[in-house]
Amino acid sequence: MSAQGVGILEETVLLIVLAMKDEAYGVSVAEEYMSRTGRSISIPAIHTVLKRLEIKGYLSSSFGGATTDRGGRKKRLFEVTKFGYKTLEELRQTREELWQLAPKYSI
Amino acid sequence: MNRFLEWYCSAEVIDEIQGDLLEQYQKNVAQKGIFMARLKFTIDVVRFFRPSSLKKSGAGMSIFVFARNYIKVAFRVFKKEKAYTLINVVGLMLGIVCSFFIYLWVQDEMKYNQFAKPSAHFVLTNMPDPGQINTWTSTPQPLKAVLDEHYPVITRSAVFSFNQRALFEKGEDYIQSMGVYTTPELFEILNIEFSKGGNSHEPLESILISENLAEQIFGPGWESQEIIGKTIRDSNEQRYQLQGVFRDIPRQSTIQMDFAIPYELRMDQRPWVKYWGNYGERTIVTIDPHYTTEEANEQVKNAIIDHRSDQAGIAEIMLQPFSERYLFNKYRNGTIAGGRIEYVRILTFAAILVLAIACINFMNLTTAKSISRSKESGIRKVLGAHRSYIRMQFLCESMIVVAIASALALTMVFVLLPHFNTLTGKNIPFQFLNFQLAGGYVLFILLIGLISGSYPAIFMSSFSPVKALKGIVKHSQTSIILRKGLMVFQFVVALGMIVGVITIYKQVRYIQNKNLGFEKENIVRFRRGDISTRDQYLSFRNQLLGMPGIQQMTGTQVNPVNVTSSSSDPQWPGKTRDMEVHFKILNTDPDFIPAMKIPMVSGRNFDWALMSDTLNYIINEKAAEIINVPDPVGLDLKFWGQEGRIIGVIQDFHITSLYSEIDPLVIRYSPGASYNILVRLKPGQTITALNSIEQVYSEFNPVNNFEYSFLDTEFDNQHKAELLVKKLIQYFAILSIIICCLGLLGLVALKAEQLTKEIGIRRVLGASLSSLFRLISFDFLRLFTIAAVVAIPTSYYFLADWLNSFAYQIRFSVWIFAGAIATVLMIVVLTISSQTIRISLRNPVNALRNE
Repeated sequence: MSAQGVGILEETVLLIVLAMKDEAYGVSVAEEYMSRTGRSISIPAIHTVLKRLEIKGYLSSSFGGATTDRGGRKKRLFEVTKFGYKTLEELRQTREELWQLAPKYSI
Repeated sequence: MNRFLEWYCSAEVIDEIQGDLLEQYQKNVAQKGIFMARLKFTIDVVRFFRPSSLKKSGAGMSIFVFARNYIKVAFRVFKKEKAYTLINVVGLMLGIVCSFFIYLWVQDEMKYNQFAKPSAHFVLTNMPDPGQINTWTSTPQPLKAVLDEHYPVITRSAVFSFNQRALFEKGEDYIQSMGVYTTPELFEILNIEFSKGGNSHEPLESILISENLAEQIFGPGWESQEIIGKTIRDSNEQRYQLQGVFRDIPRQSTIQMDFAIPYELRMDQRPWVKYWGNYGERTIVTIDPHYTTEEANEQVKNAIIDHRSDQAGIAEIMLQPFSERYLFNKYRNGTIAGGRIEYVRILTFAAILVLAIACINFMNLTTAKSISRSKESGIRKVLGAHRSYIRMQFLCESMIVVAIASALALTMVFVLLPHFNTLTGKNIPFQFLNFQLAGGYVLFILLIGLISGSYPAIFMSSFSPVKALKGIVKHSQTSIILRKGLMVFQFVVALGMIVGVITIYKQVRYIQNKNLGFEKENIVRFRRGDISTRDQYLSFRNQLLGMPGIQQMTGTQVNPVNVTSSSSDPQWPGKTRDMEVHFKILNTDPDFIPAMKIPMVSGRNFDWALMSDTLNYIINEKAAEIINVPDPVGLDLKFWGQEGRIIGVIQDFHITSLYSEIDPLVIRYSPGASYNILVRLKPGQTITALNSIEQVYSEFNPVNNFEYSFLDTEFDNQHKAELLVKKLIQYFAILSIIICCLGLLGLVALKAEQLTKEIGIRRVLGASLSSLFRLISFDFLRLFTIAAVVAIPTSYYFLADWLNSFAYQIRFSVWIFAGAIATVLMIVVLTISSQTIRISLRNPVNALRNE
């Protein structure tokens, strides 16, 4: 049931954070999203998604190192929580079950 | 943009947001160029401006944090110093209520006659009289044609009658209404639109009515009915065809009418209005907007002189902007000499004064009080507050007090507005949702807060923190002088107001009680209605005199408290050719002199039995003085082609308002002209008498309702503006005294508080109550003396000017000033002694060990 509150954008971002391991923060996630999906997303939008996921408990965050590119500002690095991982699993499982039931078409 | 981000962003999120944005920016610069990168950055910064990234109040150092603290401290102070806050708020509130009402009143006065075309001008005539020029608001009818034809500066003109009463039929009933005979241009000049039909004056017997009258005649659904072309009948069986319904004339207008009938019909029915000699009509014009009033005036002033053929009774004309007709309604020697505008000015001035003393109170109290808050300012400064922050704090506090006071004041205005409307005879609506008013109101609060808060704020922020914390702050010499000066100003205003009230009150009472030369009490006046022939009048008279409660009755052509008709025609042996005298003319019957109780000086009264008396005249003493023969009784007097004799001289009596002196008067015995019937009632039997009159009246007037007025009320109505100002200024004086008292109370209490220890020691050493009183009051009484010295000549100067507008005025007496001084002094002493007693009754031990 807990997986129900996750939208497609949120799921994608969650997967990206999972895939990026230690290097997931605003800009990197946004770039990865763009390269994977081909759609662009703004920084404020990605921040909103990340924050929302954190509030829901799928992500946790910690501060990382600062670079000169960032005007000496620290990064907020995100990590998928166990609960987040479980939710992603559930989503995948549901989807796979449904795929099992689907008739096969060859395109 | 980056700075904006830093300004709004809270510390928690600034790192990730600014960091991410800057990183993105660098990348964008490399990929898309600097312009796009900047644009994107800017857009993103704006998009991040949302509650989640904003600074939390209380977390950082921002203006909001300070404001919150100021407000918190302000309310703590209010709570701690309840009495002092109450005095401040109430004082300001009264001042605001007072000035707000006057603002509403003045605004309403200013709205008068503003609806017409801006170039609309009213035509007046300057009639020369010996020694002076009388300005009339009436003109002859042929003037219109002359103005239209010979003076291009006049673009349009209309001639119309004075208000006429009419009774219009509605089923079995009649509706009473007031209206005019007019030429069509009046509606264009006054900008009055038609909601039905149009400005059509054809046929001759047609009529235009107002929406108000349409509703009365045709009922509430008149708008959906086809009423144009219908016939309206009046009580004289005259039929009019309805041609149009015009929008109601605004309430604020000197021209009021509910119907308009073609002027040509008036000329048919009353051919005499066509003559130059008949100054009985009104003329209004619009002038070419390229000319000023003065230029136009210069061109047209000789219109009558140049075009009147018979060269008798000629006079210059004068144009007055229609928009000024209401406020500038007094004329002296052929020029416009103020009028109602004076009262607008007086009251505006008074309102500003009252508001000023309320503000001064506030300033005085706050500054005086500031000593006890010096520690607070000291600590704030030690903790790093800048002077400007402390200034802000005190301004903030004043704003809060002003805001509370004005919110209360607004509520009071709302509650009291109906009473105010009754008092002033106006109908001012209160529009709470008026955007302009709301905006002005906010501005007003800011302004008053700034004015009254600025001095305390500057003063408080100037303390040196070390001294403030040690508690040795003293008021500087300048601040003491300023405060005393303000106090003196308050006393001056209060004294001036009281002198004003007493003078105005006495003058008004003088007018009301002045011996007018006749007894104005117990006289009822009503229109004769259908009692038009001599026989009808006589039988009415006989029947009425037999009824209970009736003492006397008489008939006159015009209202005897406002005789307006006059003539320069009377000729007598010995009158020189260049002697131009206008005599007031009163047409009446032999009952007039006994009924009005006017004493005869010499000669005899008219006699009912002698029809030849209709050729004879009675004059007043003033006329006798002008005719200037040893014994005018028996002198021949030729008048309007009628040769007769003077048979009597009566004592002078007032025939107009007390603004003007008594004019020479000729009384004629003219039996058919009794349009007004005056009945003297037996004293104390008013109700019986009125019933008697109504009973007899309705026998003679099946159609008309019996409507009457009392002569003394009518006389008072001529001085309505004075009566109103008397009432308003009374309230003002009371308010200003209350405000002064509140301020004084506060200051005395503060002074006593500061002297607590001194008083304690004195008490222990056996000081008496009176010596303590002297200690506290000495300063205040000295200030009061200075104020009295300033106030007396100032108020004398202003009031003498006002009194000069009356031909009959009271004299200034020492008692007026003495009374004012005594009143204020009494209040001052009472306030001080109540405080002295309060302090002295405390146990001195408590005062001495209060550390």
